[in-house]
Amino acid sequence: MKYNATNYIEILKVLNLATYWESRLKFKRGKKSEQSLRMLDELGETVSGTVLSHKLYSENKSVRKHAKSIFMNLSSLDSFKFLANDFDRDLNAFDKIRIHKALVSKAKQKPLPLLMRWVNIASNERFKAYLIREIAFFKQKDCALQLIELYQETKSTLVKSSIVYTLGELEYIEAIPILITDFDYVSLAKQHKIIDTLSKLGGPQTLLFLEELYVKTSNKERLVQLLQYIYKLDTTGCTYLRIKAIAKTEFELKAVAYVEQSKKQMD
Amino acid sequence: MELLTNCYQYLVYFYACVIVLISLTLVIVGYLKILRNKSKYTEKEEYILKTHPEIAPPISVVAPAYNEEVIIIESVQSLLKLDYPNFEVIIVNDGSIDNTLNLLIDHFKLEEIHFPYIEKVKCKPVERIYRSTVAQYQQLTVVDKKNGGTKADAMNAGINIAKYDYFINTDVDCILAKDTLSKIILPVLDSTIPVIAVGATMRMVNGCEVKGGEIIEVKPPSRLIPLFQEIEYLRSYLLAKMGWSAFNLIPNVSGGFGLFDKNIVIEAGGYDSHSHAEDMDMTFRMIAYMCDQEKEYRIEQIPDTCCWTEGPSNLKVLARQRTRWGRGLLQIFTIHKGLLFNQKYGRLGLLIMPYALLFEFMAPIVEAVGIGFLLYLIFTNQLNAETFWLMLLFVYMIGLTMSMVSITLDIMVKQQYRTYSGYFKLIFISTFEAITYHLFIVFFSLRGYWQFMTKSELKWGDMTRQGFSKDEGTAEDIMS
Repeated sequence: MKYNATNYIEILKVLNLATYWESRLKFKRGKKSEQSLRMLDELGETVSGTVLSHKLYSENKSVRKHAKSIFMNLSSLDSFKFLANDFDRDLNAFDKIRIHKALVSKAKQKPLPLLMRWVNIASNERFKAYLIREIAFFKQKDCALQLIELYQETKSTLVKSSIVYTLGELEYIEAIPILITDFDYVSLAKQHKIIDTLSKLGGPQTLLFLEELYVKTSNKERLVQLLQYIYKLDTTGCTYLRIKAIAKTEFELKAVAYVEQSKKQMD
Repeated sequence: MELLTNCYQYLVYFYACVIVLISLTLVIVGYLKILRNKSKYTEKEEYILKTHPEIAPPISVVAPAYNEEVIIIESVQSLLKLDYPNFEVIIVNDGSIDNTLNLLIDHFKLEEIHFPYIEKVKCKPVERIYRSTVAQYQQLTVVDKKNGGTKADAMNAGINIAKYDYFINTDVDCILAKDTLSKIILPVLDSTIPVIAVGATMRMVNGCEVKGGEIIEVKPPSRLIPLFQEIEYLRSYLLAKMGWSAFNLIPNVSGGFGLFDKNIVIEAGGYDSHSHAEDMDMTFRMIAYMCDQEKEYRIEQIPDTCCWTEGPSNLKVLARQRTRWGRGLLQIFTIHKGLLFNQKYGRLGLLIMPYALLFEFMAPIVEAVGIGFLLYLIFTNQLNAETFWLMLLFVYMIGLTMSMVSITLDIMVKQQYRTYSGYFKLIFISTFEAITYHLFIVFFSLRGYWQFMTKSELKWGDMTRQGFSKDEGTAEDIMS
C-alpha cells in the first residue's frame, strides 16, 4: 500500500513513530534531542505539545528554545504562553524566525490573537520590537492606535523603529503628522525608516514634506531615496517636475535619469 | 658555539611542543564544534529560511572578474542558480581587456542604467553599470570599472553597489554550492552577539565534474599540486579554523569565499588595494574597528564545503601565489604593528597576532634555519642519528595524523567523494607532503618575505582558463 494524503496520519499512528521520537527526546544528549524535536515537528498534529514539557526548561539553550518554538505549533492548550515571558532569555534572530514560522502555521488554522497583548507585557526590547514587526506581517490593523501611543511613550530606539515600520505596513495614515513632527529629533537611521514609512502612507502632506526634505538634504543616498518616493507618490507629476527642474549636479541628473529608467523598466 | 647550539635546540623543542599542543587542542575543540554545528543546523533549518522569504536576510554576492571570458558565463549562471530566496549577484568587470564584458552583455541581455553611484569605499572609477532586461536575470548587476590591478579594488566597487547588509566575497573562478547562502547565514542569525564575518570550507574544483556551472561529481584532483592543496585546505578549514572559531580567534576569513557585514567593512575603510593579503588585512581591520568602538563581535566558521576554487595546477603558479601570500603576511605585520601586543585590541592584539607572528610568519624561518642547522651538524659529525630519526618520525607522524584527522572530519561533515578511493588517494598523497610540497611552500614563503623586504615589484599572474566543464588535464596555467 502506498501512502497518500488520506492514509498518512493512520500510517504514522500504526508505525507508532510519535512514541519512538518521544522516547528519544528523553535522551540528555543535545544532538538526539534536537533530532527528535525536528522529527516531532514534522509529525505535526499527531503529536501532543505536552511531550515537549521536560525540554521546555532544558539547560541546553538551543534545545530549550527549539522546544519552545515547536510547542507553539503543537500545543492545543496555551500555545502562546512563552510569548508572555519574552520567549527566552537568550533570544536571537534565528529564534525569531522559528517563532515566525510557528505563528504563520497557527494563523493558517485560526486568526491569531492580537500580538499587541504580548507587546504590552514584554520586558525585552528586542522581543518587543520583533513582535511589533510581526504585527506588520500579519496586518493586525487593530493594533495601530496602541502602537502610536507606545511610540510616544517609549524611549527605546529599537521599539520606535519597529513601530515606524509597522505603521507603514498597516497603512495607518493618522501617523503621518506624528512622524513628520518627530523627524528632526531622531537618528539618521530612524529618519530613513520614517521616510520609507511615509512613502507607504502617501498623501499631500507627505509629498510636501518629502519635497521640503529633498531641497534641504545633502546626503546622496537619501537624495535618491526621496526622488524615488516623490516620483511614486506624485500622481499629478507637478512636484516631481519642480524637483527635476532644480537638479543641477551631475549626481542629481543621474539620479533623475535612474528613477525614470527604473519606472519604465517596471512598467 | 655550544651554548648557542643548546639554546637553539631548546628553543626549537619548546616551539615544537607548543605547536603540537595547540594543534591537539584545535583538533579536539574543532571536532566538538563540528558536532555541535551538525546537531544545530540541518536541512530543516535551511528549509525554514527558504520557505519564509519575508524574513530571510537578503545577501549580495560580489564576484570580481578580470579577463575571464572562458568561464564568465558559466560562472554567472552558477551564481544565479543559488538556492536562496533573497539575493543579488554583482559581477565587477575590473577593466578586462578580453571579451568578458561583451559576453555578459550579449548573454544576459544587459542594458546600461543611469545608476547614481555613491563611493562609500575607495576604488578606481566605475564607468558603467548594467542590469538585465530579462526578468529571469533580474538579480544580476554588472559593474564595469577601470582596472585597479587588485581584487581588493574591484571588491570595493562591488561593495559600493551592493544593496544588502551582508555580502559574499568570492571569485568568478569559484563554484558555490547551491545551498551556500542558507548555510552561511545561519550562524549570523543564531547569535546574540553580532557576527561580522563567516567563513566556510573551500576545496579544489580541479578534478570535479562540472556541468552548466554546477558540480555534478566531486572528485579529488588528478594533478599532484592541487591534490596537496586539497589536503592543505581541509587541514586549514576543518581543523585550524573550526578550532579557532570556538574561541572567536579566527585570524582570516578567506578572500576566495566569505560572508561579511557590509556596514562594518565600510566603516573599517573597505579592502586595501595595496595589500597583498587583502583578506587577512580586512579581517584585522574589522576586528580593530569593533574593538575601537568597544563592541562585541564574533567571526564564525562553518565546516560545510561551500566553495570550489581552481587551484594552481603547476609549481610555477603555486610559486607565484605563495610568494604573494608570504609578502602579504609580512606586509600585515608592518602595517598593523600597532595592534600587536596592544591590550586595547583584546584577543586580536594579545592572541591572534602573536600566534600568527610566531607560528605562521616565523614557521618558514624556523624550518629553514633548522635545515641549515641539520646540515651543519651532519658536516661537523655532531648529529645524534638515533635521536634525529626519532624526532623526525615524531614530527612526521604528527603532520600525517593532522592530515588524516582533517580527512576524517571532512567525511564526518559530508562525504563529498562518491567512493572512499578518493579519500585513500588523499591519505596516500599526504604521506609525501612533508618531504615534497611543504618544502616548496617554505621556500616560496621565504622568497615572499625577501621580496617584501627588498621592495621587489610584484607581478600579478593571469591564469589562462579552459572553463569548468573542460577536463582538468587540458587546463594550462600560464604566467603573464
